Amino acid sequence: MGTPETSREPCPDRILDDIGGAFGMGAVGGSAFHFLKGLYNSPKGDRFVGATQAVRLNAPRVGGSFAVWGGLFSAFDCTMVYARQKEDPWNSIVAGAATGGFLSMRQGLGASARSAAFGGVLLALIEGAGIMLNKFLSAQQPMPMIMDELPPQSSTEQSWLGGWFGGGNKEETATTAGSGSETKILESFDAPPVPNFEYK
Amino acid sequence: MFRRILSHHRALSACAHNATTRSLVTRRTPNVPPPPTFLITGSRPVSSKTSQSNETGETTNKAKKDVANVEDPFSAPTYNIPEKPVTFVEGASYGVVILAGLGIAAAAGYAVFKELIFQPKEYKIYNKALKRIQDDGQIRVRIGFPITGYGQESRNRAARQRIPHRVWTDEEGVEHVEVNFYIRGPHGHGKVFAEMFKGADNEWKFTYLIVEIRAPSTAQIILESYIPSYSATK
Repeated sequence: MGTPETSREPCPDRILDDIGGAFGMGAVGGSAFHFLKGLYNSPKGDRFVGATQAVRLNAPRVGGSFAVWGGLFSAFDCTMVYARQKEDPWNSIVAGAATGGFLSMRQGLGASARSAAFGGVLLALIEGAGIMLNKFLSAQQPMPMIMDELPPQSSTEQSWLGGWFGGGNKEETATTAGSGSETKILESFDAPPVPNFEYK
Repeated sequence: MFRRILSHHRALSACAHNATTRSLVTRRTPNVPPPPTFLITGSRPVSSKTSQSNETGETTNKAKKDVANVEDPFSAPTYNIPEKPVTFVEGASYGVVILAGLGIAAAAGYAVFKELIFQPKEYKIYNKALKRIQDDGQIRVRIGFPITGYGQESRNRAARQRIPHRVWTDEEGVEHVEVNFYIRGPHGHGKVFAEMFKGADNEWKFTYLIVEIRAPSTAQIILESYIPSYSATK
């Protein structure tokens, strides 16, 4: 994470990051799942040995599968970002559909279309849940802002200027308080700057 | 298990077959002696009447035995269990449960569609502002032509796709949406502050659109600034 001035476009490098991250998730999750499965399916007295063997056999395979999916998804997502020149949830939905369809293309066109639809619906649910969660979390913040907006309403010019300066001060304190942690930075909203009417 | 059941069924059928053959053999033996005794007596009408009555009796006996023999293999207790139909109230309750499940699924689907197909307000404003910026010559001269817009300065996909926004309503009941996002081109990058409101004709209009270019050189460009229509009476 460099400073905003020196940070590059994340897209070509993000594919490798996502391959590693997806492999990690798959390997750890697959290890946990197959450990419990081996523990359950092994005879009494050999449970730990059976669980260890199951993890050793299956965890790399699950990690590899997750890495393939994550790498393809990230590649398609970067392709969508480059094609559309904007980033919004539709990129993820189309990338999910493309990944599902691409991975099932060997099984025929019908199965490929079905997997693409399933991938698109899955990513749509994930993005929809994320948007609703974000809306729910941000629904609690605007209350004090609305209260602050109410007082300067005596005349149009005064209310306009009051809204500018009041909002600026409020958001400046919010940004300074939020600069400590990354989570607050993500949640913060920067007020528009006071325009300096210099001649350019 | 299936083989055992099949062998048992074959044994039952074999017993039934043997029973029928025995009954036929036993019935054939009494038919032979009566004719010579009646012929010895010499009375033809009496003999004919008695033979007819005997034949009817034999047929009734045969029918009774056949019915009894036929009923025996099918008198197993498993065939006498009555199947009671489901009552109307029970079926209706099942239907209600099914409709409730479908209702829940429809509500979830509607929530997803409402959030995605009918786009949220911040993404609508973001799309309009980004299109306005991409088509503008002042911004294009400074940071280059393919201008990309994203929500947060981060490598996380979800953070980059989320647009910081604030929605508020003014004293006249008009809805305002403010958004912040970043733009990046081949030669530089900047930050955009935009606000739009829904006008009387139900169309979104810019209140302001300020582009703060930070690289390669610092500049602040106001592309849109709303000026309300002037009326002398106010």
